[in-house]
This record gives sequence, structure tokens and C-alpha cells, in this order.
Amino acid sequence: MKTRITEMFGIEHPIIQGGMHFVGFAEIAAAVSNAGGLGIITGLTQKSAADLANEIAKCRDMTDKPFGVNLTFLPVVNSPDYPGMVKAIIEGGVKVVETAGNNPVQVLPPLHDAGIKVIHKCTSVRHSLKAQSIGCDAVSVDGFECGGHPGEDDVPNFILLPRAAEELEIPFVASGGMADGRSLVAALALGAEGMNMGTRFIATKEAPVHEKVKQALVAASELDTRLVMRPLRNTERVLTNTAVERLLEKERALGANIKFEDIIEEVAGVYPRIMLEGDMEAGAWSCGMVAGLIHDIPTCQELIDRIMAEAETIIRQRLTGFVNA
Amino acid sequence: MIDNRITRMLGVQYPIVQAPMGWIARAQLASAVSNAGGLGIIETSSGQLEEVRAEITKMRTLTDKPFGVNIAQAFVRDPDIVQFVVDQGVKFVTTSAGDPNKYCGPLKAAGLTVFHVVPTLAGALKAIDAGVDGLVVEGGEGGGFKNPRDVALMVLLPLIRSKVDVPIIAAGGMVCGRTMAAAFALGAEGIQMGTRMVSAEESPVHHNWKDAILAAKETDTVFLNRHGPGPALRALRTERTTRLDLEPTENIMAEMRTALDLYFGGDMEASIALSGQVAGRIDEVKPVKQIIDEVMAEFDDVLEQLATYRTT
Repeated sequence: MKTRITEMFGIEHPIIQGGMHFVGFAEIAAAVSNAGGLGIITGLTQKSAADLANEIAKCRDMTDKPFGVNLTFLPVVNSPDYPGMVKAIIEGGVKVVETAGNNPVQVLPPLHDAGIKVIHKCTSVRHSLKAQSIGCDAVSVDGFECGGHPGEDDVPNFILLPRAAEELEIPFVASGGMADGRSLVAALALGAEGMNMGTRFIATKEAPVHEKVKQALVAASELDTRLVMRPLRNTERVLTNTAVERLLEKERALGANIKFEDIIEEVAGVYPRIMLEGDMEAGAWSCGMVAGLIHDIPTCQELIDRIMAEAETIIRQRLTGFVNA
Repeated sequence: MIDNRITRMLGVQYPIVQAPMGWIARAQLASAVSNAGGLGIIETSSGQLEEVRAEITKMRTLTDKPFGVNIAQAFVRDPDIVQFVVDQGVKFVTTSAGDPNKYCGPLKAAGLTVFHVVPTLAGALKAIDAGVDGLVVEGGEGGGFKNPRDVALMVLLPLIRSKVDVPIIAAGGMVCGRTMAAAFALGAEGIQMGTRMVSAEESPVHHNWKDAILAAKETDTVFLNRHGPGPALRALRTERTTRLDLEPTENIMAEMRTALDLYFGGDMEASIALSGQVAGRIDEVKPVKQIIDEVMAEFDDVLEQLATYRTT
């Protein structure tokens, strides 16, 4: 399928695998890129710029297709080595960077000078317009459905995507709630030019995470995600478990007085324990509402092939019947 | 026109249904929707059954097209409600806010077509077991009384579609041809519009409410009373609803006692203005016919644009 997104990133299908902490290693990124989508390595999961350079090299060995790196800008005191990571990205020959979190303006000049395209994740029309104005090449519009950080506006994609389409000139992909060919056609209908999937890609054969994580996604219903850390204005959508329910109980009990220290046990250092060790009650981990739509664990190739085939059927058979009827 | 299961079941030109807002979904608005080729629905959630009876009689003089009635089960406790609806000669009923087993059997026995409004997969499966003819699948985006655990339509609609065979009407966020096309891609065969119809020219509400919808951004609704007691609801952000959001009340329904002062008196702080997030996509008061014609024209445009995407 050809859209401004596939043209910009040099990919066959308008499907991006978004950055995910302790999931976005070379294995999944290469599998997605080999299947014709855009795989993305999660920069901050790597401990250093040197480690990121190694992961990029590893991915390069596994695919000759374009892939990207996610750089998330967090409001922390001890900032990660962003200049070093940018250098690793440029020297590694990466063609696309997905930025997330705070304004990425400081990395745009070096990345653009190196011919790298930048797609910024945004949870609102306001932020999307800001990304456009500072020179980002595309936006990944994150609806309220999405796993991870949906922002504080709570606007789902049926509202947010057409609003973005009304305002933006640069192309954008839909992120949040995306699982299959139906999601892709819906996203295109609402004005997006592709889709970003996170949670759906965790439940694939190549995702380098513990089998129990994949099984948890298959078992989850549409009602099984929770919003945590809202009182800290750092809302995160996560899959429920005993630690998450304990965290929510603390939020209710402490109200506006809650501090990060109060919930540190449920949120700090959780990802390696969940993703690598399969300790499913270890704490809160990002998961989209789309878990309710995940019923199997295909390969990335099978998943992407079936999405494109389903999209084709919907567009050519189911929907065309209505035109000029 | 569109030929699918919804238009055939409802006997309408377009698979576009107007939501049954209490006090608002009466003859003036519903007849405009039916006359424009959609399906107008008369509410009963106001509980004013005598007025509703008069409105249905009035419908007969305003339109010769089909229309429906909604039974909002949490608000209508009259044991004769089924007979009441049957007596009006209406052929299509949506039931909502309650157990689908309660009225489905008797309504179907009387020859009516019954759709139940559902906010979750479990609710949908229960309605199917009860024998309904179709579902109104309502996402958390929508306005009015809500399931406290909101599920976005992007996930809910394809989920329910993959588990049931009956036709589905999508509700929540519906306002234009883009949203209709997206809903159809996800498996719906019809759409229901609430907030867009509240802000239609023929809607009887005070222009202050319509103006507030036009002014609202997509971030200007609040989701109230998530933890109960009583129903959760989505409404326009006002001083009153902002306060209710920060300091939840023990009796949310008491807030609705003064609803008519807001609805028809125009005092936006008198009560709660139920509205969906789609308020952020509504910029103009329009006649119902124009709304429906524009939705259908844009729906065609979007489908034609989709057809230009080649997957191979």
C-alpha cells in the first residue's frame, strides 16, 4: 500500500511497530521490517550509547530493510546520554527516529542533517501541531486507547484522528487500539496514512519477551487495562494485576497527597522482571485496550500479511458495495 | 440510499439513527430525522409517558416514515411500558440501561424489532442470548449515561463484531462520513448520532446548550461518577461539572432534577449538559437534513478515497 508514510520511510506496508520498553530489541524490530513494516528499537532500553550502537548493528545483520530507533525524552534529573545515542543512530545508518515524551527539538538538526526522518508521538492535536511547527516529518497520533502514556486529555481515536486530519499538513499514523485490517482501514478512513501497533506486536512469536507476557495479552479482555499515576499527572495505561490493584488502592487512600515514593514498589524496575522473567505480578506494565482484540501469537510476517489481506478485502469488497449505491 | 441489513430492518433510506436523549428526542427532532431518510427515535427516559404518547401521535402528523422508541430501563419502571410501546404501533425499539431479558421477549412476541444498547462484550453476548435482532454498540466517547468502565469504540466495535452475527449500529463519536466509514470498516452497518442531533436546528434545546457544543473542544467533556453510586455519565465541562469531577457527589441523579432549567431554560450551570467528546468536532448548527446529506456525501467520498489505496 502506498501512502505518504510508506513513501517517507521506504516501507512496503503502512505499519509501524512503536517503541516499547524491554520489548523493542533487534529481534522484533528486524522481524517487523522484514515483513514490510517499520520495526523500531527502543533506545532507552539500552544502558548506554555503546549498547544502542551494538543493538543497531545486530538489527542491521538481521534485516536489509529500513528500521528505526525510538528516543523518549523524559523529565528526569540524570538525563540519559542523548547526544551519544543520536551519534549511534547516525553512525548506525538508521533512517527513521520515533521520538516521544518531551519536545524533541534539540535532536532535529543533527538527525535531519544526516537525512533521518523523525516521527513524533503526540497524544493531542495541540502537541501534533507543535511537532509540525518545529519540523518533525510525521506524527504518531496516540489515542486514549493506547498502552503506556495517553496524556491527560482522554480523547480516543474516533475523535482524535479526524481532528488531527482537520489540522495537520504533515502525514500521521494512528496509534492506540490498532490490531488488524479493520483497524487499518478505520484509521485510513479517519484521515491517517498508516498505523502504529505496540501491544499487538508484543503477542508475536518474535517478540523477545517471556511467554507468560504473550499469554497474558491473549487472556485479557477489553476491560482489563487500568489507568495508573493519574494523580501524579503521569497517567499510564497498564494491564491489571495484583500490584496494579494495590497501586490503585494507594491512590484512592492517599488522594492528592500521593508521591512517587509511595508507589515506587509497583512501578520501579518492573520491566525486566515482567518482560524477561515472566513475573506477571511484579508491577505495572504498559498495555493498550487493544489487548481485548488479541487472541493469538502469530509471527510478524503472518500478522502483517493478514492485516494487509483483510484491509484489501474490506476496501474492495465490503465497503465498495456502498459507493453510489 | 444504502441497502444493508439495517436499512432493510428499519425500512429507512440511510442507516443513520438519532439517539434517544431524554426530553429532547421528541417529535420535532425525531420527525426531522425520519423525513431526512434516517430513523428518528422517541425517548421514554424522561418518564413522562403521557407526554411521550402525545409526541408519538404528533409524529404521525409530521412524518409518514418509520420511527422508533427507546425504553431506557433504568428510568422507566412502569410495568406496562411494553404494552404502551406496542399500542403506539411502533415497529422498532431500542432497549438500554438494563437487563435485555426483561423486555426483549414480549416486544418480539408483539412483532417488534429489538436492538439493545451495549457498552461491553459481555453485555453484547447477554443481549444475543436474550434474542435481540441487533445491537447498538456504544463506545466510551459518547455522551450521556455510561458504563463506568469505558471502552473506546475502536476496540469495542471490532471485538463485538467478531463474536456476534446480528447487525450493529455504532454509537459514540459519530458525526460525519469519516466516522461512518471507519465504523463500517470495523463492522458496523449503521451509526447513531446524539450530540450532533442535540445541536441540530430542529433540536428543541436552548441555544445556549447548542452554542456550548459549538464552542467545545474535544477535551471539553468530563466523565463523572465513575465510582458510583448510580450511573457514570459524560457531560460538557462547566463550572458545575468541573466541581462534580473534583468532588464527586453521593447522588448524581439529584443533579438531573433541574435538567429542564438547563435544557430549555438555557442556564448551563443549573444541571448537567450530557454530551459526547464529539462536541469538539461540531462547529455549526445545521438542519437535520443537511447533517444527514453531508454525512452520506462524505461517506461516499471516503470510500472512494479508500479504494485508491492498493495493497498489492
